[in-house]
Amino acid sequence: MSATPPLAQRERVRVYDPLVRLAHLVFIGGVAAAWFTRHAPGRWHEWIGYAVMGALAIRLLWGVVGTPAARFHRFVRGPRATLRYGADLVRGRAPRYLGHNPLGAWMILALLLTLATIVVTGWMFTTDRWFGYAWVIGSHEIATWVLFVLVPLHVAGVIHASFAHRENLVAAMLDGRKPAAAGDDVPP
Amino acid sequence: MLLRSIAFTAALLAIGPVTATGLATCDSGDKSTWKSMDALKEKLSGEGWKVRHMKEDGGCYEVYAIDDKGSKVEAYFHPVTFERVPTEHDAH
Repeated sequence: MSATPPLAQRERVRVYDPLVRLAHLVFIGGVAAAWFTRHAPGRWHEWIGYAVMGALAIRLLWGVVGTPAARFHRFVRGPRATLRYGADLVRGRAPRYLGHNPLGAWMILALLLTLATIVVTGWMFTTDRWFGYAWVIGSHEIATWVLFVLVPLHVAGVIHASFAHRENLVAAMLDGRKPAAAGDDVPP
Repeated sequence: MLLRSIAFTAALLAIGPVTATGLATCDSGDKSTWKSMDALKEKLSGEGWKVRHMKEDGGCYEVYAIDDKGSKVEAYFHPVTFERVPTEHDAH
C-alpha cells in the first residue's frame, strides 16, 4: 500500500454543494431566531417557521435527488455498520469519511425529523382545525427540547471528528471543500 | 474531549433571555377562593366558545379556544371573577 499524503498536501475537493450548506445555515439561523421570538408579539415566529419549513422540504427532496454527499441512501448505513463505526471511534481508529460518517448520518436524520416535527406542529397551531389542543403545543415543545439535546451532540461529534482527523469540519460545511480522499478514507 | 464539547455547547445554548411565558398575570389571592376551571369552561361554552385547552398561568386561567365568532383565541380570565384579562397579544 502506498503512503497516503497528509491532508494539508491533498487537493481540496467539493463535497457539500451550495444547497446543502445554505439549508444548514437556514436551520441554524431559523432555530435560533425562532427560539428568541417564541413569545414575541407579531408573527415573526410563524414566518421564521415557514422559512425553515421551506428549507427543510427542499433539503429532504435534495436528500433523494441531490449530489452524492447530500443523498440519504449514500450516507445512511445500517445498524451493524453504524455500531462497528462507533466501536472504531471509541478505539480511536475510525476511518475518515469525506461525507457524513455513519453516526453523523443518523444524527442528521434525527435532526431533520425533529425539525420536521417542530415545523409541522407549529403550522398546525395556526390552523382552525388544530389550534389550541394541548397535545399540539406539547409536541412542539417536546420536539424543541429534543432538538436542544441533539444539537450539542451533533456539534460535539463534529468537534471530535475534526480533532480525530485533524481537519476543520465547520469550515468544510461553510465552503463545501475538504481534502481529497486517500488510503482508507471513505469517499461520499 | 467528547463530553467537554457537549457541555460547552449545552452551556452556549442555555444562554438566552429569561422571558416570562405568560401573557398576563392576575392578582387572584388564595386558590381556595378560586372558582373551578370546569365552571369557566361551562360559562364559555354557554357563550358559544369551543374550549380546546385550559391551564393556570400567572394566577389566571389561560384558555385556548375558538370563540363565538369562530376566531382562534388565547384568552386569560380572572379565576375569581371570570372577567377577561387583557393580554399583550390582544393589543396587536
